[in-house]
Amino acid sequence: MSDVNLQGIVKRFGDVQAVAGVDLHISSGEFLVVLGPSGCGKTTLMRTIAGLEKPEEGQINIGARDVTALPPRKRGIAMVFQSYALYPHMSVAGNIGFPLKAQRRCPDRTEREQRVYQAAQMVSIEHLLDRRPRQLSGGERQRVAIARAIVSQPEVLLLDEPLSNLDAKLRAYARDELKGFQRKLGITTVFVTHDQIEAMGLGDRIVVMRDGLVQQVGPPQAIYDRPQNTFVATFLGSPGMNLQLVSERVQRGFRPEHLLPLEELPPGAAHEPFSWRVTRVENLGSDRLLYGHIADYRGEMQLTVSRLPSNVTIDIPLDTVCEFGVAHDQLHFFDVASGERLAEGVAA
Amino acid sequence: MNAIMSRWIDDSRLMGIVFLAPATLYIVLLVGLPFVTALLFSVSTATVGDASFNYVGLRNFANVWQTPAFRDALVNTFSFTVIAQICTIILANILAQLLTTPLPQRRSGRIGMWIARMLLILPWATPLSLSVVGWLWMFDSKYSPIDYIFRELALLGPGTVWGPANNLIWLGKPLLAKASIIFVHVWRMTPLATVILMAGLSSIPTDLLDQAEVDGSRYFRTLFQVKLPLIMPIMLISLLFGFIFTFGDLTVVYILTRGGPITHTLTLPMYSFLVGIDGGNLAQGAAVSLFIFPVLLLVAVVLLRTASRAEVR
Ligand SMILES: Nc1ncnc2c1ncn2[C@@H]1O[C@H](COP(=O)(O)OP(=O)(O)O)[C@@H](O)[C@H]1O
Ligand SMILES: [Mg+2]
Repeated sequence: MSDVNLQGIVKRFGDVQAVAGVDLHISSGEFLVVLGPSGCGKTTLMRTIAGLEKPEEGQINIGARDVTALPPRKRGIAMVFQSYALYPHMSVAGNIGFPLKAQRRCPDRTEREQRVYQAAQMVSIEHLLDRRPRQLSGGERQRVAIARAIVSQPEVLLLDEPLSNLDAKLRAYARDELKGFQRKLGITTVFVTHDQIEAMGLGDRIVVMRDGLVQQVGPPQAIYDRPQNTFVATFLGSPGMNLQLVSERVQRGFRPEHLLPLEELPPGAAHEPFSWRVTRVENLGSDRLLYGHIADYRGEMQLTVSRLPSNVTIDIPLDTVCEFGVAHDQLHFFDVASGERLAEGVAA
Repeated sequence: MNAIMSRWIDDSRLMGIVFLAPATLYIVLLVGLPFVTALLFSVSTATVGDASFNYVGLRNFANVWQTPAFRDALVNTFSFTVIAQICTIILANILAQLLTTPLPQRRSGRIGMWIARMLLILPWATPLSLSVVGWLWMFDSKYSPIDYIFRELALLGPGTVWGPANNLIWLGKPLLAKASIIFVHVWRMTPLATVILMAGLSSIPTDLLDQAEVDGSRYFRTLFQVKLPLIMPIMLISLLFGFIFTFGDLTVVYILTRGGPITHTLTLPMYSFLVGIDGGNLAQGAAVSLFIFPVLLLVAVVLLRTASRAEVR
């Protein structure tokens, strides 16, 4: 197992800066999730770590080695592509065994077959070894791709949106399984996704990216609780954080689940009151989403969302002024121009 | 008026016939009729001077089969075709690899690649008879530029390895004449095969090649274990195309050697032409040419089956 260190990575395609200067340290054995909207440079960053793209600037270290100039096969990495990229003309066993043959690290045939079998067992596909990729379901293909990635015991595992081709139900299951066996193998893993639920659920730490730049790095809960800027605040959570101008320079943010009827606020907690009219209710089963408008400091109405858990059964009449509030410690403040988080004291 | 028109247009049976008619007519008139004529001639005593029909059964076929020249033609046709296809597919694979190699994204590189691809297709785009006349000069017994180069390299001429003659006389010696004809076929077929293979190669998802690279595969393993197996169906199609073109070709042999020296480069189409048109024995000429038919039919069937299977994948 090795750690990975990225310093000032820049990757351009013509005029586009796909990765615009990324510094990142991934600890040995860590499960790091790179999260960002599509087109923000996640795949490019991943391919740069893999050695499929050569960065214009910066340095990549895996363990103690500077691998910046090395080809993929000398980096000790394995990668699972979004498309799984299974070789269609090889059996499942052939696919899983291919890295072993290609890297010539396992010349003995019986040993190779044994390792292929073990890798297949790891993801419970040992009964599919003779099949061709086209005879497999999406979930099975994903497992084959993962088995092929771990068979050569790489130091670093790179996963590019490996779950996005699965249907929703299978995805939750695959997520759990992936996490489980990453723990078991203890392999340093970089997982790319645009799905914040996946990111929150899987990552030891999350890296939020936007336009080729890292916005924030940290444990999922920390990022959720203390977003570093308005982009992170609105990108994480569904729906994202409500933002509201409180002066020319300062924006105030609060999460939908913290905008509650006064009765539901913790007793005695200092809070900011909001009177608003709820214009629409969405009942999602586990929660209720309330939509309405709240005026900012200029008197302009802004769409605001509140999320009530299902155990809050209070009746919310439509188009009637209701008294809501947000506990003071759940308010976030951001600079309007830069979008950056303001230190707690500054805003007050 | 309009109502009648639209009723016609909506009648799918009628429109089907209308749309199929040109192709059917074309096939019947230009392929079917000559074929039937050839069948009829081959069981008759027809000559150029007398096309009247006297049925003689399979006598023409039996006669032809016993002619040594026919045996030569049969062997040559197969060996030329097979050797030419093997050379073509190897050469085309190499060229296709080179021409699909990604270049550094420089302008000059892209223009260079474009020019190289243009030049590549030229042999295919030139009318065959013209280019073969060109090759006739290249192989000229006295003024052959190839011989000139060899002389300059001191390989040919008095006191050299291939000396003492000043010329190799390409088309006058059995082995060289055979080689020359095969060479021109390869030269002719390689562009099409290359283009077909290039299309196949560029249809391989880049993810798959990236995956091979990440898996640790190097150039030749990726070539032989990933790229070639993936383009195998399309390669087979290109091979069969080449087979059909070369097998039935008259132009190259006709212009270069007319089957000579003696019968050393004789092929079935050439022999059929010599017997049927030059010799005036239409019946035997037709019989010779009909030997080509079952071979081409078989190849065509394999070709179509391969093509349809390639599609499914
Ligand atoms: N090979 C390429 N050539 C040109 N532009 C590219 C290439 N790969 C990616 N890009 C551009 O780089 C940016 C980041 O792409 P990508 O890394 O694929 O984003 P993500 O994976 O986050 O969706 C996009 O604007 C994309 O258009
Ligand atoms: Mg991507």
